[in-house]
Amino acid sequence: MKTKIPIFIFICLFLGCFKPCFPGESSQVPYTLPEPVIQVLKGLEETYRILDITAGDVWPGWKDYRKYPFHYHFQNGLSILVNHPKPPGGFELAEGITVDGKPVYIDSREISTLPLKSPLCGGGGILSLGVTDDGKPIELVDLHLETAENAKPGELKFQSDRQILINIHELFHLFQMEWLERKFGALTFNPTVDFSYYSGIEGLALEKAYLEPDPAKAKEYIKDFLLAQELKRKATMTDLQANQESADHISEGTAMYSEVRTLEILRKGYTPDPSMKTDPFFSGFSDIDFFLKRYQDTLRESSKSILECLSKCYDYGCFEALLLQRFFPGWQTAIAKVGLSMDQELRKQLPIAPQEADSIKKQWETRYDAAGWRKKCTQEIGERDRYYKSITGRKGKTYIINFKPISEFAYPKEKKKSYQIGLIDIYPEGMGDLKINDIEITGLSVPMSKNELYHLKIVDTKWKKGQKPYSLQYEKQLEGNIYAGAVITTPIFTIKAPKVKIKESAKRVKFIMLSRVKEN
Amino acid sequence: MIFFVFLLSPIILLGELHVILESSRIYRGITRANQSEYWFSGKNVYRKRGNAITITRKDLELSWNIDLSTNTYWEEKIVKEKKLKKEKEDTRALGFQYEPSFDWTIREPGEKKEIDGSMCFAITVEGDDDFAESITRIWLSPDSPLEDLRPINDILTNSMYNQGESEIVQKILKKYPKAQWVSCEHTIDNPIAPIIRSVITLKKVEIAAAPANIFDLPPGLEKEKNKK
Repeated sequence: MKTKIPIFIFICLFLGCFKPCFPGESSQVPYTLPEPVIQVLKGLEETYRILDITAGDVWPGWKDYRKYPFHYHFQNGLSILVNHPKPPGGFELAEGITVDGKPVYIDSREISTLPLKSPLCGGGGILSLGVTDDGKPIELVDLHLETAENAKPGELKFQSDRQILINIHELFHLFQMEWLERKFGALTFNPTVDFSYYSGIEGLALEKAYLEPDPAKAKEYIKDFLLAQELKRKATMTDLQANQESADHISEGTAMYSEVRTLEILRKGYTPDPSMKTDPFFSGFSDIDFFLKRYQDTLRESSKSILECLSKCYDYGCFEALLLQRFFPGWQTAIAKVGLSMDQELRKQLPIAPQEADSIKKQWETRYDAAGWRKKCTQEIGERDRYYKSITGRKGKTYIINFKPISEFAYPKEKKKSYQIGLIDIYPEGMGDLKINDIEITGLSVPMSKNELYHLKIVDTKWKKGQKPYSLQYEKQLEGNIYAGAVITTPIFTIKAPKVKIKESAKRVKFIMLSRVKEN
Repeated sequence: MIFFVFLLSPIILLGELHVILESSRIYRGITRANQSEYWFSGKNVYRKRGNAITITRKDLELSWNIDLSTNTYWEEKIVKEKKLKKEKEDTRALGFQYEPSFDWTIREPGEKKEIDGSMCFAITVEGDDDFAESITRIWLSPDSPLEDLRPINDILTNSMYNQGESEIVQKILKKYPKAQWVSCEHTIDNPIAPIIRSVITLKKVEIAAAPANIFDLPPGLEKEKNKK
């Protein structure tokens, strides 16, 4: 249920100053809630105001959006809970701050000196934190916000609008708990050639159907989508995987659809709350077409993404929902009450006769350049598999660079060739250089991988037994094997780290990043 | 406080083994505490935790899982675990299910401390893999009055989520046939999820007369047919 975080969904927030005192702590040393955080909370209030206008038209009966808490995590270690009925230990009431009249709690125990800068952005998912008095898990929206360093200058003014759309997406997931029975787990699947081939045609067909003004022609494209999906499932998926895929399309697709429908409804007229005027990164949804175009763009990117499986459920599911809304209004009943998937409902409405399938397929060559597309899929999947074998076969001294304590996904400074397989990102030519706040890593030019989101794995195949795997300089040894101001040099790469823990065993050396910034 | 009740009244040694333990799990700042009660009779086991009861009847080769909150139960056959043949690598499924293959470091016997009047010693088992770490500290009392420690040791090893760790702890416990574990602290740092800490403590160990029919399915429960 994790929110896809396209690069463009990045946020920024800011202004004002607030100094709450925590009960139970000395009132002599008040904690200052950073300005960007205040804007995040204002954006959440605006989310509720927008949903007051749109929710009923997005999905019949959607009213529960004020019910759920929000849990925000910030890069500097600050953690905030909004509207949580039983905050865990460490959270203190922020006196004088409310969101939509609801209490705000702050946990600043792990805070670092990293300044929070606008624009902030973030996605996340639905998690539970704590239990109610009658033992039920407390479900909430869990978001990780960080400064959007890479936001395009022309798009800065839309960043808070985008965060509102993310809030709506996540709140819709919580609303799904009212009507969506989760019978199948999430699909975990690495594409095969057949999968990517048919899946690409599915995405392109959805786009054509969405853009086609003539309803009859649009429905032809929908049939292309349905047939490609059917053939893909026959060729490469089990029944369970097919069901999981359909379920993911409902789960993520309708959540993304809630964003698009919100935009379509706001187009009819919306005046932001005056308090949002202080946010320079909030446009008040002044350019709806800009946002809507992004959804089409990501659908096209998804269609052409040969190695991707998971992210397609967002775009494909969203456009299935949009097409259902266009041609078969009231479709929500079939999904929420009857329990059909969106593709089942489309198949019911637009059945494909057995003799029709061949004539549909014949058109794919001209419509979608089917042969050329299959060749591309074969080549890229083949490369991925070869690189996977070569990376897992590397023997020698293993180095692990672990970013988990600072919740950093660690991307290279410059885009590098990479292949994804499960939760392993393979970089056949290395990641080059990385810079994460005050952490600098240089020289990663050998084949390597990023595993399980937070861990870089590098194997030095030239390492010889007895050879020292690294040298270390540091400003201060803090405790045991933790160093401040460290410079670590290995035969392959160099790390400059403000605070690092080093663990060495016969098989591997681990460099565990404990801070992004130099502490005072 | 651990009560070795049978030490005070050896006459009731003819009964069944009765164990009460407390466990707590800390995850994302939230502590969840539980108490479990066990009765052992031969190879049959009764376990109650909150509203959940599991009765394992090895003589009947089945177990009943009872939910007292709904007055329902479902039945499971006990199947001997077969060693699975390693399946051919399927590219479609690769990389999603990370299962750590820990390298183990054992420190035994380590620290000492007095627990409930008994000088206990610690054994620490540390697991290290590329993307995960695990540390378990077991406190053992050196001279248990129990003849057969296997049921109590099984409670501990079955609570471990990593098969490799469970096996290594079994081996360690066999090396100390008279020592009985009294508490176990476990910390796992998974590749993605936040750190999970858990503590299991034995609160009561006694040989006593088990309540009547405790190893039988209680009357009046509705059977859930489809649940597995």
